[in-house]
This record gives sequence, structure tokens and C-alpha cells, in this order.
Amino acid sequence: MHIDTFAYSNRWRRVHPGEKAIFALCCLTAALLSRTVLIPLIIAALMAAMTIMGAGIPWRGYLRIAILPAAFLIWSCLALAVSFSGGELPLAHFPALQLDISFSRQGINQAELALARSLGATLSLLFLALTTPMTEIMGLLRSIGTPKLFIELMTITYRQIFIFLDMAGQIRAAQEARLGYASAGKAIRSMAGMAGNILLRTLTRARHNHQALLARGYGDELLFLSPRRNWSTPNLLAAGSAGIILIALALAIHS
Amino acid sequence: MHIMEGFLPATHAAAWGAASAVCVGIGLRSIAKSVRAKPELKMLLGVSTAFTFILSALKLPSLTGSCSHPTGTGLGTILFGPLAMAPLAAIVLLFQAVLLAHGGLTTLGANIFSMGVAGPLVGYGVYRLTRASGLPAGLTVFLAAALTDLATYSTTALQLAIAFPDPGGGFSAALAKFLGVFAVTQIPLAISEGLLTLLIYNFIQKYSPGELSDLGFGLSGEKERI
Repeated sequence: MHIDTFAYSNRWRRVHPGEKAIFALCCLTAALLSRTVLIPLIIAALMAAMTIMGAGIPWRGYLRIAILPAAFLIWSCLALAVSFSGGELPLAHFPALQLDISFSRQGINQAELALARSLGATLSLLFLALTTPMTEIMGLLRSIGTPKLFIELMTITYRQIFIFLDMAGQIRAAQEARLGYASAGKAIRSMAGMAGNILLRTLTRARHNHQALLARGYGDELLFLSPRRNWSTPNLLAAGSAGIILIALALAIHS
Repeated sequence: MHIMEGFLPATHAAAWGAASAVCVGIGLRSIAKSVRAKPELKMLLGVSTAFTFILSALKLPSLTGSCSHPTGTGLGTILFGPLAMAPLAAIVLLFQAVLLAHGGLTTLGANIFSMGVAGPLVGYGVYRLTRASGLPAGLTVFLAAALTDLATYSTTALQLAIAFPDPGGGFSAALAKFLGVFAVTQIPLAISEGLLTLLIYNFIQKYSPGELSDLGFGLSGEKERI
């Protein structure tokens, strides 16, 4: 959960979450709408620069977080480029299975575009995730009219995740110390023991939490104060205009 | 495995988003109705969502050697019924996107649809059918969880095939391709998830059977569901 740690400790922590969200979402839209690889790559570079130099996320940490989705992305794009029904660049041929594996020109183009778009979009998402804590994102969702029940479920979930992560870490350490993960069979048994234990505690905890809330005058609704953040006009203007220019460019440039 | 951020074209992302928004709305309405009758359910659902998130963050050893993670929706479907799963999956996926950079905001709709709508519906159908036909309880849990998983990944393959048809063979060739690519990792994974769910079920039955029937695992007749 390095992302969460950075979200609370970056330089842009006190900037209004709405400004960061407008910027990230505009860039996300621009990356998605673009029809050439150029615009999404510009967005990716812009986002990386803003996150590292603007918000002050250390580049090593940033790289470590970004590398996982990037690897996953490349793998997904390979699946796009490969074709089993004949392409211009044959890779392998299995006569016994009557199977041809090849790259097709169109498939490669498709994969290139998807890779660029996805990279731009992922880094835009990372920008928002690394600069804005979950609680403030939930505040934003509340202010744009997301159903109360949904927000409440989110709040409860967010608070429990870290308690359970801690619990899972401790159980895992204890199991590993007893060679609980020495083989695949043992691993799945240990994991089921861990998950079962956490599930049982989940149920107990839900009951306790509910009683604790009732004892404090819980009336069917969880109320929270969002920290007050001031909108800054220059930030808003910069974020909005950058976003709109990028979207316009994405729509204007054809291949 | 979810569809990555920005991977689907804008029109597809919007269409799946609209479809999922409707399903999440229906799910929320049904949860709200149950919560009015039993207020403690809200806390239980929230805490269970956190549990699902933790479960999906676990690395599961799969037979091919690659590590993958369980979806956790099979267990949720059995516990809470399919209607509650769309909002639960929406929250889990949103948290995965923002806290783990796994999945994304623009593909949230498509991912909710595969993980929170299609998978649970299939899983629930399998669960009811196998229970009705009198199979042993453990087997029904295994089948429901494994097939929820498979249905989720088949839906993902379908979504990708619609978005990226094969240049030579069109939609059906693309569907076969994505299903084939996923099958290598997902079939062993579905079996592992089924086993894991079965073992969790056995564990709870051994140590705390009362909790199971309270939740509606249906050991002592079908309890009320959400």
C-alpha cells in the first residue's frame, strides 16, 4: 500500500482534491479519445513529471509502483498483436494442431495504440491516486451525488482494509515460520486457514462495530467532516485549460 | 485479472459503464431494503467488502507456476446472493484501482460487469442448481466458486473481443484467441479458487458452524438473503 502512504505525505496534499481530479480526469479522457500514439505519450510524460517534480513523489518509489501495471500492460498488448487466423509476420506453425501463430500488421497497430493510450491513462490515474488520499476522493464522490449508502459502505471498507491487512500479515508470518508455505498443497491450506480466520473475525468485528455505533447514538447514517480545502483559481484555470487543450488535441490529430 | 486503465476504447468504456451503473443501482436498492429491515447488515456488508479486497490481494499459487489472485466473488455470492455483489465489486474494484493501480477508472464499468454481475449470476445459478440436485455441500461450494471465476474471465474475454476484433477472423476469432490466452492461467486459477473457497467453508464449518447458518450458507434451510 505504498500508494496510500504517498497520498498522505506528498507536497500537493493540501491542494483541493477537485482540482487534482479535474486535471487527472481530463487527461484520462484525452488519452482515451486520442487516435494516435503521440498524445497519450505526451500525457504519460506530463503526468510522470507532475507526479515526481510537482507532487514530490520520489522517482524510485514511483517507478516501483508503475512497473507492475506496465508489465501487465505489455503482456496484454502482446495478446492483442498475436493472431491465430493468419497475419503478415508468421511466428510459429503447428501442423498437427492446424494452428498458425502470427503477428498481423493491423494487430500491431492496434496494440501500439492500446499500449500508448493505456499508459497515458494509467499514469493519469496514478497521479490522482498518489496525490489524493482515499478519504478525500470519497468526499469528492459525496459532493457529486453518489448514493449515501455506497459512500458509507466505502468508508467502512476503507477503515477495515488496513486492520485486516495487518492481521493477514501477522498470520502469514506465523504460518511461514512454521513452514506453512513450503509446498503448493500446504500453501493453499494455510491460505484457507488464514482467510477463514479473517472471515470469522470479520463477522465478530462487524457485530462489535455495530454495537459500538449504537452506543454512540448511531442513527442509520455515518457522518463525517471533510477537511476544508480552498479552491485556488489559478490552479483550477491551469488544470482546466491544460485538460481542455489536451482533449482538443486528441480529437484534432488523426493518424 | 482486470482490464487495464485506458485499454478499452471510449465508446466501449462508456457503454459498459452505463450497464454497470444500472446493475449497481439495482444492487444498492436491494441492499437498502435489507438494511432497513436489519440495520446491522450495513456494517456486515462493509466489513465483508474489506474482506473481499484482502482476499483479492492474496497471491494464489496456481498450477502453472504463475501467481495470480482470487476474485473472492464466489464466496460473496454464496454468502450474500448475486444482487448485492455489483455494489460490493464496484467498491473493491475502485479500491484496487486507486490503492493498488490494478484495473482502472475508465474500465471500472467493464470490470464491474464481469466481476460483479456476470460471474455472480452464473455462480448463484450453479449454487442453487447443485444444491437442489442434492450434491454434497462441499462440492456445491467448489463448483459455485470455480464457475463464478470462469464466468468472470470469459466475460472479460468477450469484452476484449468486442473491443478488438481479429483483423483476419473478426469477432469469433478474437474471442477464441482471448479465451485461449486466458485459459492457460485462468482454468488452474478457477480450480485453485474453488479449492480455497471450499477449504474456507470447511474451516468455518469446523470452528464456527453457527456463523455459517446465520449468514445463509443455507445449512439449516435457506435463510433470508440480501
